[in-house]
Amino acid sequence: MATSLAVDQDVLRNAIKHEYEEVAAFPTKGFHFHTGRFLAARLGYPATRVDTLPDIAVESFAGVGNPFALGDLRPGEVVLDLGSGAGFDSILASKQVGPEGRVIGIDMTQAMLDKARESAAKLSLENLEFREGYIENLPVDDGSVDAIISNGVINLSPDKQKVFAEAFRVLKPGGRLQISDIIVGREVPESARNNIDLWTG
Amino acid sequence: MAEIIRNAGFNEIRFSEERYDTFSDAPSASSAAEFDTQGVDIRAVKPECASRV
Repeated sequence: MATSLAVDQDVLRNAIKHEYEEVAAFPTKGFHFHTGRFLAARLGYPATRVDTLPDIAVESFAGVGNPFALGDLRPGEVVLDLGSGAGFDSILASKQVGPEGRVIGIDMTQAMLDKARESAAKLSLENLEFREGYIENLPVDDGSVDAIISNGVINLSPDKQKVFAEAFRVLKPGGRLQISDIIVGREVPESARNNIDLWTG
Repeated sequence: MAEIIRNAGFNEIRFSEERYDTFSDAPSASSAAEFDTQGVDIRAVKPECASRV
């Protein structure tokens, strides 16, 4: 996984925003990754948790793993979702932490934030909020979070060291990362690291 | 990836044994698939005695 800035950060962010605006608006358009209920089943999300959710909460899901496979979140915990997209994992997290807990989703794409907020309202989830921001500069207080989840987002950042430094800052001592992301089995050449299409998928 | 997480101050870093076949059979061809890309779950802990915040 590339760790240094191989492409212009603003160009990359704009390309990613454009891609995920499409995922928000046209989730069944056909991307170079799977989406929605098919993907959730493929990644092992229990049908009992997914089937009860409305389409708007699931259809734009585009994760690469299952952060909850590492263990459920505990009632009362404060959870942060890095790159929360249309809110699928945040919604599942909000149900796990319950009314005494709180979930904050962070995303940089307005269309995704709009969709996530609409889902949370439809499900009357009052312990869930979504904030606009970058995962390299989290709009979250120091030492205020019990657990951080994320699904297929950190690989999109050209500055992963900053992402994990920010995660460390906002977690309480003893707090944990519970994330899913991608690993590559083959060395990625420098030419590919400068290819925006590869970064976005 | 583990090194980046460790450098940020985390410990108890664990990668799941399960790997997810994330991109195969996707509707559009994926350039990421060329590099044997797989999904993985990762857990890590901020030490109780962490001084860097």
